[in-house]
Amino acid sequence: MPGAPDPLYVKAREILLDALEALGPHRSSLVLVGAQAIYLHTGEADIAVAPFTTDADVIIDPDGLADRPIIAEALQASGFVLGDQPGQWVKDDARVDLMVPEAISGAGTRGARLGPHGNRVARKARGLEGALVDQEMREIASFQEGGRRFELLVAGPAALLVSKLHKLAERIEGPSRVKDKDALDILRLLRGVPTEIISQRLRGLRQDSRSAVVTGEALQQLEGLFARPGAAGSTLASRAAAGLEPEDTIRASCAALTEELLRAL
Amino acid sequence: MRNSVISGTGELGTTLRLVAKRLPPTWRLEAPPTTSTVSLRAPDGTTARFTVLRRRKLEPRDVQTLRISSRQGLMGTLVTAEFLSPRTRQLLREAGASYADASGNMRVMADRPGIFVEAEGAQKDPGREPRPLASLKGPAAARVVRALCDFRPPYGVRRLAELAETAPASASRVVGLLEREALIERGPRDEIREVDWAGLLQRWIQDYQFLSSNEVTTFLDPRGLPAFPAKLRNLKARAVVTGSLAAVRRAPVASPRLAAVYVDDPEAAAKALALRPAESGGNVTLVRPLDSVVFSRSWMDEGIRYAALSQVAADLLTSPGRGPSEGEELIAWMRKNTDAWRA
Repeated sequence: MPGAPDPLYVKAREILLDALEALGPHRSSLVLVGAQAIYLHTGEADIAVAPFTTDADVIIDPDGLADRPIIAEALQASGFVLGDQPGQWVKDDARVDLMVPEAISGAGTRGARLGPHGNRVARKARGLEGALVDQEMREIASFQEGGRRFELLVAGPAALLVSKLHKLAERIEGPSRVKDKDALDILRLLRGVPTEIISQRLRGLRQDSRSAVVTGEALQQLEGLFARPGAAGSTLASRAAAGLEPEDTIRASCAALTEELLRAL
Repeated sequence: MRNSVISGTGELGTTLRLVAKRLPPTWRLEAPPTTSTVSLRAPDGTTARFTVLRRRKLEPRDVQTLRISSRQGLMGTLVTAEFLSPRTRQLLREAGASYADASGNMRVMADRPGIFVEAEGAQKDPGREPRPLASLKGPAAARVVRALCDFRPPYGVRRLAELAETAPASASRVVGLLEREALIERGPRDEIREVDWAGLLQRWIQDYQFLSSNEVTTFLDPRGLPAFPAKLRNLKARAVVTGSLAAVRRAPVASPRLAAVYVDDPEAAAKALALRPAESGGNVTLVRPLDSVVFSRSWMDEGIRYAALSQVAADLLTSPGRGPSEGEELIAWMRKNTDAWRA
């Protein structure tokens, strides 16, 4: 049943590897977040039926970030162009978003202040703080045979759940259908990772001062958006999975797994 | 017999002799061979006469068509048959007729001279042949149908019964029905020579229904269908997969949305598989089967046991939604690949 990954997803991975190669020694200050990180946890067999992403989301931990090489120069040399917004690096229609968790990104409104690297290389983002706490080293490899592979920190499932819940809460009132995919990604995490593991790591996030606040907020969102089959998040997830699984199954699964996780906490 | 003058042997003779035996010793029963009347002669020489209405069989609904004379008339009516059912007798009593059958049921009465004889014989027709099988509903039929599909003939009924693990009499009754419906062909020595297995499956599902013949309970695996096979692999209890999840291993059908698994104890299996009772949105059905034949001739694929394709096809053809069309796809595959599934 699982076929080869979607070509767009293969390409997105190549562009991510281009950025990781260009950033060289800075790699140890990066943590992969977003959909590509989620799929690393939930299994890529799923991707054949549900690929959406051409973005790679990466956070920079400013604590210990080296002054050289200059991030913008390294990326530009590799063919990346800075988009309309800070941190939005585009190459061949694919994007790598560099972000800094708001709690540690300093003053300013949009761009993160990164000393010699300036304040347009990465943008501030709320909800990603957990990735500084819940993380693990993984190998990020090309889907092409004999392709490149790099060791990289990847956000853990609890950190990813928290960040996705923040993103969904921001978008829930808006018209964009991207929120459907956010909701489905949340279900993917709940389904793909055993409840004991997520709950244990969420407890860790609640205890760390960097991530405690966003984690508390996220768990409230989880309950409000997913604890019932008819709740908004469950509905969005069922819409995103239309044609793949019956809506009622998705809705009931959201509620059942949310209830299980909240009970475990 | 001293108190009767009865000619003839046959069923009427038997019946009348039984009546004569019940008469008081001083009475005589006379049944002249050429007439259809019977007389009961009292010791004083008076006679009660009956018109005999002789029937081989008499169903309750036939009673009202009989010409039964009123009890006050000169001649009474005596209805005879090989066997009169309790209901037929009741209706005859209500109609005022005397009656007697060859099994010993009788009720004979007259006002002048006054006599009343009543006796009980058989309650069920002793001459009745076992009624031919009319349905393939039950477990025995399931076993025989499955064996006829799964094993290539020729074989005799006795061998078929062995293959189906059923009594020869059951096998014989099912074979009788299928022969009448031209779904199997017998050879010169009465062996089963040819089975139209696809036609047989279609005939079976007139009586067998996946959802109603078996006991089906729907559950939710909140982690989704892709995660389910791994759990099933670790299940200790016996379990075989049927439906789309089995068909998709062979035939080109769309990716399944519902897992259907035969188990002996659905409640225990649901617990072991971490399934939840589903009010709506269920994606796993656990099925307590009509008969253990669903476990017979199952096959393994990647650590999971699947029901025989003949079973899977019948289950799909009688499932809701896309089931029937998937069943047709599977049968098309089975036609092209007979060697792959038929022993």
